[in-house]
Amino acid sequence: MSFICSFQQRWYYLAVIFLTGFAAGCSSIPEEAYRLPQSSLSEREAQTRTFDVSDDSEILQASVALLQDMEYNVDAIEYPLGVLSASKVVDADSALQKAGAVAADVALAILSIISGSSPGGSVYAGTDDEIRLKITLVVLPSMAREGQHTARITIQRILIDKSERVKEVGVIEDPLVYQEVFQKLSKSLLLEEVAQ
Amino acid sequence: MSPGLRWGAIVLCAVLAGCASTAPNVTGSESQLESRQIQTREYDTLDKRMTLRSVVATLQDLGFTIDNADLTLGTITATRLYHHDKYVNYTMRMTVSVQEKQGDRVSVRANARLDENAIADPKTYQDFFAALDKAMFLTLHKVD
Repeated sequence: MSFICSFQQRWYYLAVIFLTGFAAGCSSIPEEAYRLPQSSLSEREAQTRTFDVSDDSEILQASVALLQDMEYNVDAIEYPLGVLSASKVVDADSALQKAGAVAADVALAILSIISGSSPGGSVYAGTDDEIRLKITLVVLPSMAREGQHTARITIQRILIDKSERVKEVGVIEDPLVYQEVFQKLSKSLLLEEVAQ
Repeated sequence: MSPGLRWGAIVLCAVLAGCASTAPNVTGSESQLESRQIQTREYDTLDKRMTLRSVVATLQDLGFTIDNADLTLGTITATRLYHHDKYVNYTMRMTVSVQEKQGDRVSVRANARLDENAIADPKTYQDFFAALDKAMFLTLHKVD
């Protein structure tokens, strides 16, 4: 197969490359973006708990206290719909990982000086920087059990690297995380009751 | 100029002209009636409060986080960051409004945006309302 092509052919290929580039640049809707995932019911179950509390304000106060216990800032509350939104930013990597990345950069810089080539980028810049966590907590009277309340929590995590690039995004699916949050909510209800 | 070079320049100009915009789109680009038809569904099964409860659940099912909710006006705004790959991330934003209609009906209107573009594709709204239908069904049957 010959890689030598005519001037006209070259322009044709260039146009195709440009068109592909522009098509990729203009955002299109990811096909599955608005489609329910197969696992939505089981996820919903893991994210939901029922509490034996009949008073709206009691469980909502305990929920706000829970968010504060978990070091979140409350961004929005709509009391009649039982919606609470909160967020926080946490450090993504350990001091050891940071030290390792800095050491790798120093080694690369020394190697590039010795070999006379330019350093090919920074390991440190590609390491994880922060995780942005966003919680939506919905607390409403239970439809299945009268006199009780249900709480549903969804947590989104966004992993950002040192160059401010988004590396990973997703809803936390680990049931153990939700289990721990609900245990803390139970404790918060107890503490609020004692404080009254 | 050779024919190849001329064609290349024409293609490049056409592509650039297609993507470039001189004035900001302040008042929207779609027909009001057409977009309302695509974005709206009417339900006669649940009241406004319970419909809003189902909308919040649907948005949570789809991985959105709620930015704002208001029962009086019946509006909910939510955001989802969609990670496509290492270089492409989309910010999906939705505003859903629920209004009471005559004859115990409620209308649900959803607006979706993907980054700086409004979504006009009916398929997206069909997918959203299919998800909402399921949440409405669960609410109707008192499943928490």
